[in-house]
Amino acid sequence: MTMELSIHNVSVARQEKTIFSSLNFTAYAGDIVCVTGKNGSGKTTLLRCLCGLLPYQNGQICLSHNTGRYVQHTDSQWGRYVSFLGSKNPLYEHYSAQENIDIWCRYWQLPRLSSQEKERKLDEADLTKQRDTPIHYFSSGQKRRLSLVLVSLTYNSVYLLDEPDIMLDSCGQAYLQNLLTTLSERHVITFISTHHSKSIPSNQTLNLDEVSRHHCTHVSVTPS
Amino acid sequence: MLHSFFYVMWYDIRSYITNLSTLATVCLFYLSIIIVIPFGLDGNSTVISQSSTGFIWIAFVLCALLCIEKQFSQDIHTDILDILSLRYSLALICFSKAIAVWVAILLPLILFTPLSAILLHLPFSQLYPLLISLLVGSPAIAFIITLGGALSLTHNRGSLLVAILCLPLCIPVLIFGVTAASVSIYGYDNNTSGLKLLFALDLLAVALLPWASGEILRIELENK
Repeated sequence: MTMELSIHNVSVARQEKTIFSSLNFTAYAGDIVCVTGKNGSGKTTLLRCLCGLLPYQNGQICLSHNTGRYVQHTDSQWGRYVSFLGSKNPLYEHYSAQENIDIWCRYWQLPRLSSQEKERKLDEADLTKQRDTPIHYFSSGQKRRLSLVLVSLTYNSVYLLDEPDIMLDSCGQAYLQNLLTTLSERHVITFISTHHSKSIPSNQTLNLDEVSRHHCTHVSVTPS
Repeated sequence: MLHSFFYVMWYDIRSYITNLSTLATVCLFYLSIIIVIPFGLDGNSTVISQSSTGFIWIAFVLCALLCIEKQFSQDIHTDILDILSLRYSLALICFSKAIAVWVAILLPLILFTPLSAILLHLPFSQLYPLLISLLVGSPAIAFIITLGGALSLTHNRGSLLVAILCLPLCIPVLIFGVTAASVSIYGYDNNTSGLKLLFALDLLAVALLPWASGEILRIELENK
């Protein structure tokens, strides 16, 4: 199955300030795209925009399959094709790790996991001891790892991970790399924003600094 | 679609119940207002018992406004709302949040009312119409609280300001609630117009406020 996510001439402005403009990019099935750039270059904005939380001003984002299925970003179905992990964790503080997995499965209409499966998933992320601990006793790295476990449970075409490596120790980094390889083998498209691009097994890089710079020259030309 | 509604509601109710601090604060505040009122009226028991339905209603509305801050408090620190909004309509989420706060906070508060009625010398014959009026009026208040919660989502310290904004919205409920509760004082036993108008306000709140809160949430998530 080949699949293609194309970003064509997209501009995003937030509160009347242009973050980036005329962004062109294409990612194919199995790609791990590393989104890099300085602080404030628009990494989070790009990912939130790709997952449909933010509108964009012009251009087009679409996902096409070789089966002929073609989904546009503006389509209400778009949310069914993306998995998103933001800079905060999607965890309920008063519930345990296992319960959070159950909640996630219900929200995403995934088949319920048996306790052995949950155990195995938590074991992979080295969270076995914390399986019955409420989340507010977790350290920030443990919360991040649990969030990655939750994301790994979904089966979608596009994964958007916003700085998943913050707060992770070396063991957590290894888990993340493992997860990324699995996703790549599943032939999904992964966008991952990070400041440590060396530790990510990516095969494409999208540097937003270059996009912004291109935009700056573009602006200086327009008045003349 | 519908199962998300039930699960959001269920997990919210469970959060309120496992973490009893909100419920305890609200109930204690309710009782303390009721206890303080006789001191302000110089212990004049005829005045107190004549206007006790009004006092109880005012105390109820003020206490309900205390929950504004808690309504979306866990969503400020997590990404659950963003992720839910990818698949489910925000209006539906607001609707289930309103039902959750009604079940977990306002219903227990109504159960506390007989105690405050005793403290204010409310004649026993008037307790029943008061409870009915609170029961019928409180859903509209729950939806107003949700609107306030949505407004205060991104302003961490704005919840007090939002409470001031929401208080005028509660005035119609208060007026018709007190009318419905004091029917028997004035002897119009068959006059249920107050209750009918409260029902009308409930329907109006159900029809309008979830959409309004959902739209506010959408704007706030875009500007997050």
